[in-house]
Amino acid sequence: MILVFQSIVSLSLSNTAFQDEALYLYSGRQLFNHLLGGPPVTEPYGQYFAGLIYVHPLLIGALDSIGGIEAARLLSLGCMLLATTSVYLVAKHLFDRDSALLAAALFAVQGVVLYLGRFATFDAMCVSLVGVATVLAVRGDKTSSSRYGLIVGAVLGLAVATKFAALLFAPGVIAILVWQTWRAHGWRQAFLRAVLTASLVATAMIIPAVLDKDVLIGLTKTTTERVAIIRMPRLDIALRAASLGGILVAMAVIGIFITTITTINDRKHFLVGLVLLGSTLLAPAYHIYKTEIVSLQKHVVFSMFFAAPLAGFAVMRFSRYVANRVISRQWLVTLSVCLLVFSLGIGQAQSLFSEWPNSARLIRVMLTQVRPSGRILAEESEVPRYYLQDIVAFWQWNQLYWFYYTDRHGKQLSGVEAYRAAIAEGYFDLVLLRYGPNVDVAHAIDEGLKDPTRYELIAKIPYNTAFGPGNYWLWRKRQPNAGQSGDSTAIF
Amino acid sequence: LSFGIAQFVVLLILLLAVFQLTRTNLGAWTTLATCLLGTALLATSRVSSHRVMRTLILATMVGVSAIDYLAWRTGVINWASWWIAVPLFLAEAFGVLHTLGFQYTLWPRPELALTPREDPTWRPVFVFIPTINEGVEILEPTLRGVLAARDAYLFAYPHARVTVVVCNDGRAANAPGWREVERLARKVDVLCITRKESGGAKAGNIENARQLCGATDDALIAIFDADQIPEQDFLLNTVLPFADPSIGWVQTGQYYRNTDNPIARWANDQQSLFYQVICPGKSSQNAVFICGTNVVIRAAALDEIGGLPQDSLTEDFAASIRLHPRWRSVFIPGILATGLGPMTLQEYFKQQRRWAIGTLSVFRNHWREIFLPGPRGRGMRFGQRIQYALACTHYFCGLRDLIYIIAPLVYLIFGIPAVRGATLSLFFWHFLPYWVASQVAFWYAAWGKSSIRGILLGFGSFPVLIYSAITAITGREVGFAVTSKQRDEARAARTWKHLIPHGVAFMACLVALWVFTRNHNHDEQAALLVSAFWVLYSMVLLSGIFCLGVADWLGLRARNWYALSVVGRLAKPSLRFAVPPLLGLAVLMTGALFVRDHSINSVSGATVPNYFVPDQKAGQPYLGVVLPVELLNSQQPKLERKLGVSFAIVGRTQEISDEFDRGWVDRLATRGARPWITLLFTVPGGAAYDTSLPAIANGVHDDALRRWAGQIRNYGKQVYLAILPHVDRNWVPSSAVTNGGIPQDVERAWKHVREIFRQEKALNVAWVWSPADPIHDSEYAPPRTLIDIVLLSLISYPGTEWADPAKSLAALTARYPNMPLFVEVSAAGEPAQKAGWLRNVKAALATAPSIHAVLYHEGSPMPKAKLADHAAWSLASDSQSLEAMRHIAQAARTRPLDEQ
Repeated sequence: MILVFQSIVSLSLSNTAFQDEALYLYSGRQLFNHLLGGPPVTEPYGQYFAGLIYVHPLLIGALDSIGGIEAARLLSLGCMLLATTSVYLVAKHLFDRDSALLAAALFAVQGVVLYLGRFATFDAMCVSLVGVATVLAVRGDKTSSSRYGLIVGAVLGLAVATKFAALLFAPGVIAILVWQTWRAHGWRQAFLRAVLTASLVATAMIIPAVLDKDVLIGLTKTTTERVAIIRMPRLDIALRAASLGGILVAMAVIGIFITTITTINDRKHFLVGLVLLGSTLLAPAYHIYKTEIVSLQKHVVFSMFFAAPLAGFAVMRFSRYVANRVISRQWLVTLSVCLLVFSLGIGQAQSLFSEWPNSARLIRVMLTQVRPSGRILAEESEVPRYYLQDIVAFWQWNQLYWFYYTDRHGKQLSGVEAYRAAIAEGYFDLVLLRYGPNVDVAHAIDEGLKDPTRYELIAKIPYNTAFGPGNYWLWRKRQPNAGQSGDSTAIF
Repeated sequence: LSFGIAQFVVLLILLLAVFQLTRTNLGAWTTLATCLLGTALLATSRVSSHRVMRTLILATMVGVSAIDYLAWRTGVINWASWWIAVPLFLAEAFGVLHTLGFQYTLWPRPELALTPREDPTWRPVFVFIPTINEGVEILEPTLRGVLAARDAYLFAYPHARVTVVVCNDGRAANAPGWREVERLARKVDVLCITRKESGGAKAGNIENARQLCGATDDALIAIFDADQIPEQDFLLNTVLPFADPSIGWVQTGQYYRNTDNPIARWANDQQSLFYQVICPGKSSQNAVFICGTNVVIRAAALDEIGGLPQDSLTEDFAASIRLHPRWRSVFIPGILATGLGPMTLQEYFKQQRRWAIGTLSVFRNHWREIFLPGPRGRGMRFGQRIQYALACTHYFCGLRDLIYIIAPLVYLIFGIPAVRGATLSLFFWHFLPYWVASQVAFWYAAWGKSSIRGILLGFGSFPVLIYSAITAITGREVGFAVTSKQRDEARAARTWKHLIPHGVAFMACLVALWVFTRNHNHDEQAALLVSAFWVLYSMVLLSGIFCLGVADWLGLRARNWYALSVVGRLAKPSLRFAVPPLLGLAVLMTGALFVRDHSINSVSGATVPNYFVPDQKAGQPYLGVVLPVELLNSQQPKLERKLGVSFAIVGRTQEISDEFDRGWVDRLATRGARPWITLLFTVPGGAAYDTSLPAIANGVHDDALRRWAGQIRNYGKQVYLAILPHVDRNWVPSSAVTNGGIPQDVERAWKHVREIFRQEKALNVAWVWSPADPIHDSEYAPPRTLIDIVLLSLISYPGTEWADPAKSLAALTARYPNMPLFVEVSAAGEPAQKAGWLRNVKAALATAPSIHAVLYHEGSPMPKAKLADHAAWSLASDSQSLEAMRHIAQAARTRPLDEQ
C-alpha cells in the first residue's frame, strides 16, 4: 500500500525534462546507440558527469530509446520504491515491524523522496543501492560467511559507480556491517568483511579510472574537488536542508533518545542508530562545507534514508504511549502524523518539480523554426536539444557555457566576444535566451539581437516556475529579401 | 507524561492534521493517502476484525475528504449572489456535518462494560401498553405477545413479578371502541386503567397508570405501543442489564411486520437504518435515547425527573435528554418486537411531522443541555452531546434538500450561480473523493440492513420537515396525533395533496432541463452539465416518491405491485430497486445531451477507397469553378444555369482549423461534382510562425492533419487537395522565402503531410501542387512522384498585360510532361478583351495533352474583396465572356467519369 501510494503521488508530478535530465538522457541515447554500432559519442561526458557514464546514463539511454523520458523516470521510481523497501527492512531488523511500516510510510511521503522518484538522474539509483547495501549491512548478524562482505561491497561499489557521492556513505555502511558482524560472529569476521567490502568499493573506482582518464577528471571535478556552482551562506544551506528533511531528522533524534530509555532490545541498537544519525548529517554537512546549494534537494534524500528507520521507531513508540492502548486512537495518531508529513511533502515535491520552466510551449514554437540545418544558440540548450534530437543534429547546437568563434577576419575569439561576433555576422539562425542560469552572458550578448536588420524576435514564450514567471526569447536570423511579390500579372 | 497531557497531545496532533488539511486543499490526495497509508498502518494497530479495519479506514476517508471539500468550498462561494450561495453552502455544510456525525457514530469503540451488582429479576416489572383508538384487533395480538413474553420470563425466573397494564385513553379521547378494550383486558386477564380525562397525551396516559399501579421506585417499566408485539424473549433480554445500577433504560429496535404494504416497507427500511446501524453506535457512547416503545425503563430514573415529560410530542426523547447526565442506556440489537408501520403516505408524513416537531421542540427547549456545560460539570459527556445534537438537527434535512433542489434550478433557469471560480476539474478533485467515500462508507455500514428506499422516503419528506421546522422554530402548539395503524382505502384513494410540493419541484426541474437544452453557452458548459446532473438526480428521487405515491393512491399492496413491470422492483428487498432510477437518469441525461448537441457528427463506415489517380483526356478536361466562401452555395447553381452545364469540380479554400465540410461535399456528390480544397495552415488568432514550413514539417499541425485525413477518408469519394499554395512567394504565410521558411523546407513539409494522410489511410486524395509560378519552381518543388496534379493559375487583372495561355501551357507542359494539370483562369476587364482571352484559353486547352481540368476562378482574387468586387471577375460578368465560357464548357467534361 505504501509503495502504491508513493508510486501514484510520484507519477502525478508533471513537468518537462530538467536540464540535467535532458543532458543525461541525450548522452545516454548517444552511448546506447554507439554500443549498438551507431556513431561515436560527441562529447567527453565522463569529464563532468558525477558518476560512471556506462552505468546510469547508459541505462536511461536505453530506456529513453524505448519509452522516452517517462521510461527513464520509471527507473527512478522503481529505485525509490526499492529505497522505501530498504527503509522498511532496516527498521524491521533493528526494531520491529510496526516501526518499520511507519518508517517506510514516513520516508515515502517525504517531498524530496517523491520528487526523486520522478527525476531521471543518478540519485535515485544511487540511493536505492546505498539502501540495499545498508540492508545487507544491518543483516550482517544473520549470516556467518565472510563472503557476505563481497556482496555488500559489490552493491556499495555499484552505488559509488552510479554516483561518486555514494563514497560519502560507504564508511557508515561498512561501520554498521562491522558492528553487526562483531556482535554476532566476533571481530575476526568483522574485520574480514570490512576489508572485503572496502576493497570492492575501491576497485569499483580504480579500474574505471585506469581504463578511462575522464573518470578521474569527473570524480575530482564533480565530487572531491568540486567548486561550488551556486554559492550560498552556510546558514542558508543549513536552513534549506532543515526545511527539506528537518522533521524526519528531528524524529530520528527523538528515536535515538528513546533507544536509550526503553527496552534492552531497543538499547542494543543504540550504536547502529548513532551511525545512522551520523550518516543522516553527512550530505547537508558536505553542502555546508562546500557552500554549494546545487543538488542539495537530491542529496538530502540520503539523509532521509538513514533517518527514516529511527523516525519510524520514535513515532511508533510515541503513538503507543499517548494512545493509552486504545487501538483506533493509536492508528489515528500514526496516520495523522503521516498525513501531516505528506501534506508538507507533496507541496514540497510539487514545488521542487516546478523549479524549472515547462518547455512544452518552447518546444512547440521551436518546432516551427528548426530544420536539420542551421545553427542554434540556446541557453540551457540541453532541453531543446533532447526534445528536438530527431530533427536537429548535435552540431547545430551551441550553448552559453563556452564558445569559440573565428570571425570573417580570421580572428579567433572566445567567450562573450565570440558570441557577439557570431551574432553580428549572422552565424546563428536561431537564438534562444531565457536570462536564467546564464543571465550575465545573456545580457552581454543580446545587444546584437536587438538590431532589426540582423535578427527578429519571433516569440516571447512565457513560463512559470516555483521562483516566479519568466520568458523564453526566441530570435530568428532575418532572411535576405528573397520574396517575390508578383513579377507577372498573368501567372501567380 | 500524565494521561491528561497524552490526551492533549493526541488532540493536538489531530487538530494539526485538520488544520493542515484545510490549509493545503490537497483534494483527492488526502483521501488517497488515508486509504493507502491508513490501510498499511492498520497492520501496526493489531486490529483483527476486517470489518473494524474497513470501518476505520472508510470513516477517516470520509473525515479528511469532507474537511477538504468544505475548506475548498468556502473559497468558491459566489458572494455576489449570496442569497442563494450562502444557503447552498450552509446546506452542504449541514450535509457534511451529518455525514461526519454518522461516521463518528459508527466509529468502532469498545462496548460499554456493565458492572452487575444485583439481581434485577427481583424487581417488579410493569408492562404498559398505551392505547387510544387502535382497536382491539390491533391490541389483542400485542397483549398475547406480552403475555407470552411474561410467561417465558416467569418460567426462567419464577420469583419474578410481572404486571401487564393496558393504559386505555380511548374514553378520554372519545374513541368508539374503548369499552371493547376493557373487555379484552378482562378476557386475557390483564389490568386495564381507563383514563376519564385526557392530558399529557401518551406520556400522560402512561404516567397516570404508573402512579395508579405504583410502578415507581424499584420497579422496571416496559412500554409497548398498541401495535408492537414483543417476542417471547423480550423480557429475558432486556431486564438483565439492570443488574448494573447505573442503567436507566434498555431500548430495543422498532420494526414493522406489515411490509406487504409499500409505505410500511419503505418506512421499515428507514427505521432499520436507525435501529440496526445508528443505535449500536450510539449505545457504545451511552447515548441511546428512549424511543417510546419496546423499551424497559428504571422507574427510579423516571421518578427523578418527575415522570415522563407531558409537554412534548416526543416525550421519550425529552426524558432521555434529562436522564442521560446521570443514567446510562443500553441498546440491544436484534428484533425483539414488531409493529405496524404507517399504511399510507399521508400517515407516514404525519408521523414524520410529529417526530420532527417533537424533536426540534426539544432542541429549542434543551439546547443548553447539549451545548453548554452542566451545573458543576454534571452535564452529558462529549459523545452524548454530539449524538443529541445530531438527533435534534437531523430534521433540518428537509430545508437542506429543498436548497439542493432549488440551487441548480436557479442557475439553469436564471443563470445565477451559487458557486464562482470553480472549474469542473477542481470540483471533481474535491467533491468526488468526499462523495465517493461517504457513499461507500454509508453503504458499507447499511448494506443488508437498509436500502435506497429508506433514502428516497427520507428525501420525499422534505415538505413536511420544512413545515415542522418552521412550526418548531415559531413555537406553535401542535396536538399529539397517533399514527393510524390501519389503512383507510377510500381516503388514500382520493388524497393526493401531500404530493403537490413534489409535483411542483418536478415541474420546475423539467423547466430547468428545457432551458438547459436551449443554452449553448460553451463557456459555462461544465457548470451547466453539473447543474443539469443534480436536477436529474433530484428528478430521479422525486420519481421514486411519485412511484410510491401512485402505489399508495391505487391502494396496491406490494405483492400486487409486482405485476407492474416498470416499478415492480420497488417493493423487492434488494438494491435492485436502484436500477430503474439509475437507468432513467442515464436515459434522461443522454436525451438532454442529445437534444442539446443535436449536431453530433456521424462518421460513416465508408471503406478505404482506392488510390485516386487523376486521369487525363486530351482536349477534354473537366470543367470546374473555384468559389470564394461567400459565394460558395449561392453562385454555383446560378452559373450552372447560365452555362447550361454542371461543374465537375468545385474548388474552395479552407483553413486547417476548419472542419472538412461534409455537408458541402455531400451536396457536390449528389450533383456529380468533386471537391477541390486548398488547405491553408493559418489558424485564426494564431502566431505567424505556426504557419511556417518548418512548423508543418516538424509536426505542429499533425493533430489537425490527422483529423482532416480521417474525415476525408470517411467521406470515401475523391477529393483534390492543394497544400502550400504559392509557397514560392512571400505573400503567403507558409512560404519558402519568408516567415522562417527556405526552399528546402517545402519538400519536408509536403512529404510530411502526405505521410500523415497515408498513415490515416486517406488515399482518396489527389495532391495538387500549386506554386505561384509552376514553370520556374524547380527550387521549391517536391519530387514529382509525390505530385498528382500541377496547377497553373492564369489570373488576368484589369490594366495589365495578360499572359498568353498557349505559351504558359506549353512552358508548363515542358516543365511537367505527362503530368495532369489544373488550369485555373479568371479575368476582369473589358468584355471584348475578356471574351477574347477566354477564347484563347479554349484554344490553348485544345492543344495541351495533359489537362485534367479547367476551372474558372469566380470572384475577385484580391484578399478581403467585398461582395461587389466579385461581379467584374465573374465568368458571367458580361454576355460575351459568358458566351466564351460556354464554348469552353462545351469542350469540357462536365460530369466526372467513373474512376473508381
